[in-house]
Amino acid sequence: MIIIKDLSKSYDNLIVHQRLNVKIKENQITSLLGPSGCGKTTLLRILAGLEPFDSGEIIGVQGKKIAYLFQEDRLMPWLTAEENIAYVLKSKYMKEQVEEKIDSIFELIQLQGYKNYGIDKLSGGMKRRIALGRALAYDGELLLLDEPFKGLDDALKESLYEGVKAYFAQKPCTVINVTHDKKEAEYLGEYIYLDSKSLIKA
Amino acid sequence: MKPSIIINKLRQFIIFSIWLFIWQLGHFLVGNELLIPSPLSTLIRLAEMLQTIDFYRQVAATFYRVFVGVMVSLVVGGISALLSYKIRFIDELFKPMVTFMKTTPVMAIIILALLWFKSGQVPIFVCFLMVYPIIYTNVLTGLRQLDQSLIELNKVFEVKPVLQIKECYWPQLIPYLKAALQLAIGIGWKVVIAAEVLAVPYYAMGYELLDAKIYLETSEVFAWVIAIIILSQCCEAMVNRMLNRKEATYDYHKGSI
Repeated sequence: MIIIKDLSKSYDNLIVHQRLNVKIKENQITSLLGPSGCGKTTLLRILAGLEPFDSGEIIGVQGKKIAYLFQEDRLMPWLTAEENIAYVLKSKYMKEQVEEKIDSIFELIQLQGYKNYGIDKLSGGMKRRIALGRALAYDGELLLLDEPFKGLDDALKESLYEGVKAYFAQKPCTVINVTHDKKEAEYLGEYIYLDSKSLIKA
Repeated sequence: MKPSIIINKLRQFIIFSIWLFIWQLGHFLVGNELLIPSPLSTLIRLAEMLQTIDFYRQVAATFYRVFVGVMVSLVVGGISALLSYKIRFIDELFKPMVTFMKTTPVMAIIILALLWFKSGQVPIFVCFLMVYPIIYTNVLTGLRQLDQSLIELNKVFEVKPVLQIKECYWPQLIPYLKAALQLAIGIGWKVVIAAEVLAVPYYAMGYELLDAKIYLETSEVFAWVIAIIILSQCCEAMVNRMLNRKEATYDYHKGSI
């Protein structure tokens, strides 16, 4: 269980979270829903250790291998699609394992024919899928997804939901998924509704 | 050969011919071989020089000084820029030194270096002092322009430092390093020759330049200048080719839709 206890975070005069309390179950997908600016991304950044917080406690994250799909794709244009995914894997896995993971992940994101393409030659949706593939292939114990299906058409989204769900059924891990889409949240698993500065529903 | 390449070569030839014509015209108008020798007499003198072993000794000695000066600047400049990027105190500590190096007249540095070093070492030291600020400033600018979002990516995914440098930071730094080296090589040759003229080491193109001037061998002075320009351009072209190849390995345009 990941427990966020009395977490407060503010930027100068802007209060993002005030005594936020959330419990996230292990080995399942939990979506964070809420209006823009309610601090969903900030919460993910705090969990990833990229953002300090003012007060409170986070239990169950320390020492976990974290994979993160950022709100932006954060792909390197001088590397190919395949190299971008391999880049985060090389430090953790042997060469054969990296190749194996890349093959299966390209199948999952349905971009098998685009491994050797330069990033700037891919469409926005394709880039998003590469970034998603990178986060999935890393096999983190905690996976943070910030709007993973942003910019994808409905048909592709639905087929990816299936793929991602099947992937997690095979390799269970704790997933925190930030989204604006209630349908997506409901389909993928449990969800938590975050309102400005406080937790409304869990 | 593609028509665009032929047109380009033709344009270069025309530009070269125009400058050669201006030189010849200058020689014709002045009418004194001692002040402005003709292109032909300069070429003849250069051809004579090329047939002596001493010419290659002077070239090798000067090239060695430029090479050592630029390489030391590259290593020291790169390391100190990295330290300045990481440690604010070092950055502030180096600021006045770099400003001093950038603004002090080269002649003042040569005169001081003459007091401190042997004649053969003076050009290397002067080259270092002139080139170091260029490398330092460019590398530091490049480091400060590194994509912060990728630094976060490396942190979260715990990417090994060697891999970070090789695949993430190095490709972002190459354009800055290329610009720095292009400037550094040109300036390196200029200051090494200037220091050689004043320090008069045993083997040196600068010394030969001075010698030719003393004996009023103006065509020889011109021939040495041409040799220096050609050598400097060759060095720059070599470094450009090397870095372009490196850049090509990080080609942005692999495949296309």
